[in-house]
Amino acid sequence: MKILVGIKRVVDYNVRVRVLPDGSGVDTDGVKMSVNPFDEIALEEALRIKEAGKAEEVIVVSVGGDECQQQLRTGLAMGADRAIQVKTGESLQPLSVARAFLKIIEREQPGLVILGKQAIDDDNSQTGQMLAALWDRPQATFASKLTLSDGSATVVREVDIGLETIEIDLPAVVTVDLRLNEPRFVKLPDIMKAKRKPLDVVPLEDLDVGADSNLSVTKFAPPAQRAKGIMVEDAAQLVQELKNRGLV
Amino acid sequence: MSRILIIGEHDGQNLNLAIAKCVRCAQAIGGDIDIAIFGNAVDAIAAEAASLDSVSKVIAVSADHLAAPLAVNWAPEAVALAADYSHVLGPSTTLGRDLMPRVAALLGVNQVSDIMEVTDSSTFKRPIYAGNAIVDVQCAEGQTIVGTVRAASWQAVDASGSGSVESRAAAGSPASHSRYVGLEAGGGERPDLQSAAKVVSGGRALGSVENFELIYQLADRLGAGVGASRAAVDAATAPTTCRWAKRARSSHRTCTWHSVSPARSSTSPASRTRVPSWQ
Repeated sequence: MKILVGIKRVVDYNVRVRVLPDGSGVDTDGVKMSVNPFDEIALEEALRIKEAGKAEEVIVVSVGGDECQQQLRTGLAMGADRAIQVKTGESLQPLSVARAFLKIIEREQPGLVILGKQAIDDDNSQTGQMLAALWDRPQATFASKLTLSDGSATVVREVDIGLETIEIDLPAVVTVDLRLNEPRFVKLPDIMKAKRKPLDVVPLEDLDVGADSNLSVTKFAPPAQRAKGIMVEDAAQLVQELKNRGLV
Repeated sequence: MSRILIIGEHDGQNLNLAIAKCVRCAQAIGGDIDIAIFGNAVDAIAAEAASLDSVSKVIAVSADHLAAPLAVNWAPEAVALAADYSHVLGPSTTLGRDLMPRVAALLGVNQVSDIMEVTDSSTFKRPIYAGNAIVDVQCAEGQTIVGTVRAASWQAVDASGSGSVESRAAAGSPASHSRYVGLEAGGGERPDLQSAAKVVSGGRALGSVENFELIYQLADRLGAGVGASRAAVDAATAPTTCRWAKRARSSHRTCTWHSVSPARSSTSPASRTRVPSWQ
């Protein structure tokens, strides 16, 4: 079985993002870029499945400009066997990314597709579900435990009210939550080895995916400032303040 | 004039509190507001939905395979109804976030995730970068607008309305490739974090399971749910089911009380209450 893992290049999660003064976007100039943390978890899970002998090959896929090759190389250094870059200069919305992934799926015929549950830049949390819909296959989102058996998978999902378990037939799309695993650190020799692993570049145009989009972001703004807190002397005053605000 | 359909989330007994908040968002868009309830034997839930202010009609679709909230089974039902509507909204709960993008893809559109403000019927504000930036999203004309509504940004509407209820047969058939196994609910007798109006939350600073007991005592006096930061859960001070400091948890609280460190990674300044970042 092949496992396909999606990787997105995003502003590193430790960076404090700043909205540009003209409201045209966020400042990414000279900012550290990384693999989306949820995608790292997705890749780690794929690698563990391969190491357990349940998959033969792990392929990392990213949609973007040449700069995302850096993140694909990180994926290869972690242990992926090969990488595919769907090359485009445009910034695509989830539906187009899902369509591009579907084309790659048709070529590669993976038994399992693992993605992060969301990217930490746009916070859309759409691509995995959309891909499953277009592919007409099961989806298991927000996975915190993934157990593979013959031709199917049991997935524990983190939902608002607890942990939900579902069973899905493969092939399927799984999107992963933070608790699934802790991704490994990349070792220097692996970074060197990763440079020799295959990285295919497929132009988006060749995939016949419309980059059409029904949404446009017209303005970026910093969030409203939080109101300042108050210090209270004792529990009685606290209760009084809460009552004044109609909160208890 | 907009025609808005809200996909009603429920637990088989009660309508999720987030739906009354979706109705408030729909009011801001303006237009006819209908709610769809998918499930099995949903009469009582449909009646509850019909009682929400400004709701004109509730469409109740009952079938065995809709009893469990599987996105693969619910999405075709939503798509079958969507043709009559300009907007299809769902709550930004884990269920809504699982379901709505599947609906959007089947309709061939991108989704507006986490609507926190309505500018006009096709322009919305939503947070990105865990609330560190707010963007205006403009939807193209002539296409169905699919969105999820960020519960913490909207007040629930009252239940003094009187909409009608219409029952319909399921449009789709059960997906054989996905099976619902079960739900392990957390929290015991206390209100669960999702629907609790009040939450008392503890962080790593409490240091031990014994000290965390203080949080339980306080919560029980207030009738509140108990939350815990990711750090506290990781340190095994608090059980996993208490964890709310992450994006997957949505919350409807009117009041939160924390002893959690104000680390940036666990806060989202966009919110009125302290709302989870992705962590």
